[in-house]
Amino acid sequence: MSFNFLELIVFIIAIIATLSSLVAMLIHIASQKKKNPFFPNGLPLPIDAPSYVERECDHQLATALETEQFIAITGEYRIGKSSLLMRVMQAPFFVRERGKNCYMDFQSMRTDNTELFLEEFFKSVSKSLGKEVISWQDNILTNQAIVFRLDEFGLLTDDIATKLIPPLYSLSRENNNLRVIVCLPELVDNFLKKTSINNPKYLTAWKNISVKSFEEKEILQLLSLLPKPVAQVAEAQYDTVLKLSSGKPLGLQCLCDKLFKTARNNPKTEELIATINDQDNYK
Amino acid sequence: MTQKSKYLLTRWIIFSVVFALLPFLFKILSEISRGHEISLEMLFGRGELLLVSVTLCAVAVGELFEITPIQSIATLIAGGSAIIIIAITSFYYANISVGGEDLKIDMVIWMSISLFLCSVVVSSACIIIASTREIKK
Repeated sequence: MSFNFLELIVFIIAIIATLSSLVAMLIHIASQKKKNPFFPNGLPLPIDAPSYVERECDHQLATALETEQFIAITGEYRIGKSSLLMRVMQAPFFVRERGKNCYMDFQSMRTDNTELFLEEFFKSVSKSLGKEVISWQDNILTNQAIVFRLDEFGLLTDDIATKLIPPLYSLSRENNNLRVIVCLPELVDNFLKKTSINNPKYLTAWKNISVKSFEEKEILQLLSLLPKPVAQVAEAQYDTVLKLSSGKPLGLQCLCDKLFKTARNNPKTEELIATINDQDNYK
Repeated sequence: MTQKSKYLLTRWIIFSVVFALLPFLFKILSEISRGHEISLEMLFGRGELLLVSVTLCAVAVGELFEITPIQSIATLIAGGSAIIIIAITSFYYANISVGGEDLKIDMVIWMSISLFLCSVVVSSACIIIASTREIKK
């Protein structure tokens, strides 16, 4: 068996291309391993964030989505409500029903002006449903499930609430696969009572899911994402971590981010302990 | 390698590689049923495996560059390698299709298998890199 010139060239190029792709893959895998998995910026964690730690509320939400049409995710500031809202798209209900996702963050919308707000609202609905919707009179419902994910729901004014909640409620009567999931700091019925929405049917339709601080196993799960020697030191300092973070996800993400960056310089154990004991590293 | 990468790689092997080789399996069964002898020459002697190689790499490049822009140098190298494999495999197939006196069947078979293995490796690299690409919110 002997190569002619052409075959030799083709063979050499193929081998070089194959080796290059192997090297590229190894570099990529190595860079993924070294990639900082923590999110200290306070924004909702992306749906594929490796440092997202599941809590009891994740299971409660997945279960509630199966039967409840109106769900309120409640909890204090920066406890992980918006991150949980992101995970709706991975819930069995959403995946099974191939739901249409309609996400809105009321913080970035004109809640000070009802007309402008509704215009933005329907524009977002149109984009999500892939058809033009300019008012509640238009046919919003489709054969598919529709999941409204409304972040910063607590920013709703009285006027907007009266123009949003009753029509959504009416839609939910027509389509069992419509879901409305909102995030706000207080219980939704308490919030709605402050508005002109006082009809009991709008107040009792909601299922509240409370997002709580991390417990021990959740904190340890997050710490385990650190490089092993650093994770061991952090786990040994668990009491301090719990005391200074109060189990708040953002504080823990900040600390882990700091420890992850510190770990790149091969720090001494004392240095790591000092990092863990510094309250500023939890902000 | 993440669970997602393993899952996507397995899915790609089953639904792309195995299915792409299915015609060869049926060819073997067909020849056996007719009482013919099976040989590599009969299976790959006209460069059929080269077409499979091009398809595998093309699918992998599609996965790699799907929607999201090039995110890293690794993506660029792996994608570039796959495109090179597509180019040289297509060129080699065109060359053997024309035929000629200097064309040796055993070399065609050997080159076909080599290029196929190269394309599987390069495509796997593309699929693994694509599986860890960042998802937009």
